[in-house]
Formats: sequence, C-alpha cells, structure tokens
Amino acid sequence: MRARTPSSQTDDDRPTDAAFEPDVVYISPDEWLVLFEQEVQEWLGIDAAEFVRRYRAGAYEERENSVTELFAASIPFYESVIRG
Amino acid sequence: MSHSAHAALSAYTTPIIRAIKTIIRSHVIVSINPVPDVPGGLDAGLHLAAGPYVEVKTDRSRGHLWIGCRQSVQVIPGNHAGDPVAVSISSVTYQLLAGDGRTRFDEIVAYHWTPNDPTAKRSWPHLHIGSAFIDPAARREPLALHKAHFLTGPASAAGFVRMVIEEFGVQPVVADWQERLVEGGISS
Repeated sequence: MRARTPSSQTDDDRPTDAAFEPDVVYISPDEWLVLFEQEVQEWLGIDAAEFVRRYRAGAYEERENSVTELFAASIPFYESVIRG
Repeated sequence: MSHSAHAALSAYTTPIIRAIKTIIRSHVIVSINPVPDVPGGLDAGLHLAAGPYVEVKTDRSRGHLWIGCRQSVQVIPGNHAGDPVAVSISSVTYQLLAGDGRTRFDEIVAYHWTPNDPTAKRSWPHLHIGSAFIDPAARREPLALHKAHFLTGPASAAGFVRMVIEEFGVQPVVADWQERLVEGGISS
C-alpha cells in the first residue's frame, strides 16, 4: 500500500530518480520542523531549540531518558532546516 | 549536482528503509533540505512515522518490544571526478526498547554514531546498555555502565534488524526479509 502523502507535497518535492520504498512519506522541511517541535514538546516538555541547547550543553549525559539520544540524531537536520 | 545528489541519497537510504520495513509496517519519513552554502548539496532527515518508537511483532513471551531509528545525512560534492557526490552521515541512532509503551519505555540497547557532528562528544560508533537492565550496583560511579560508550563498528540498519530478529525474537512482517537484509549489506 502506498503511503498517503502530506497535502503540501508535490511531485517536485520527490527525487525524480529515486527508487524509494513505496511506504516512504516525503515531507517538506517546514513540515518536518513542525513534527519535531511537536514530539520534543510532547516527550520532553520543552521546545526544540531549548532541547538542542541543553543537549549541546551536556544536560542529558546521565542517559536516564533514552528518547533524548533518539531526538539527538535529528539535531544536524534540525540545524540545517533552521539555518534555511 | 542536484540530480546525482538525489540519486546518491536514494542509493543510501533505500537499503536502510527496506531493512527497517522488514519488521515494521508504519511509514518511514524522509525530509530533504538544501545544504546552506553548498550549491546542490542536500541535508536529509530520516525517522519512523508514528514515533518516536514503533512496536515490533514478537513472540508473546518476550513482552512488548519497540524500535527507534533516526538519521541525519548530508550529500556533498565528492573528492574525485568519478565520484561527483558523497553521502556523509552526520548522526545515526538505532534503539531497541522494552516496556508497555504507555507508562514506560526501557532502553535495552542503543547504537550511536555521530561521525560528522562537530559538537558530539564521541565521534566513533558505540553502543549503550539500557539503564533498566543493569544491576543497580553497576550503575554507581565510577562504573556507571549505562553511561559508558562501548566501542563498535558502524551499525547498519540491516545488521540491527538481524540482531533484533535473531536475539530478541522480533518477527519479520514481510516474506522476503532475508533477501532485503542481504541487500542491506549483511551476509546470508
């Protein structure tokens, strides 16, 4: 089954030469940013910018909350999107 | 570079997505952003939909198991004429967790690698043992095993999936899962 795609996605957003698995959903960087903000807020109760600041400052090195490590893998992409 | 950059990104992500989707039915989300100051370069983020964690099918006696997977990668100009673009991993994480998914998630193991994140404190690939599965005596300083970074080689998606299937009883959800994992770079 092919995934439903976000309403804002157009054919122009999709790599024309991609052979991606059908169940991939492409979202725009702005949509991704909204998702990331929502999940960081829901799971950590802070906004994404504050999460990144705390992570970079070493606030999660106790490793009592594994979701911070998962979110951290998105930080380089987050920073790319924020920089525009 | 844009066309070849997209092709390179596709060539990198497709085996990962095909491997992960041998054990999950939910979608994989990919977003692509131009690299600031690098003409034609791409940044991409990959994560699981309906996350951050997705439950995987297991033998009931194993309880509920969940996985998390995220990556940030960059496609940039390559160093050689015959290799116009290169995929550079910024950060990758694979996690396996137990728990009911409502009141708790207990990390069993997490694989991390941040080879191109200049602010990361460990650039080399490593694993963490989840704190819930370490004897409290071993959680005291100076050992604090759950905080230790245990050296590994780079963990592939296919390798991670094979590990959770073979060691934790995770059930594949597609018939051709073995072929997909071989495509993903593991030996059969």
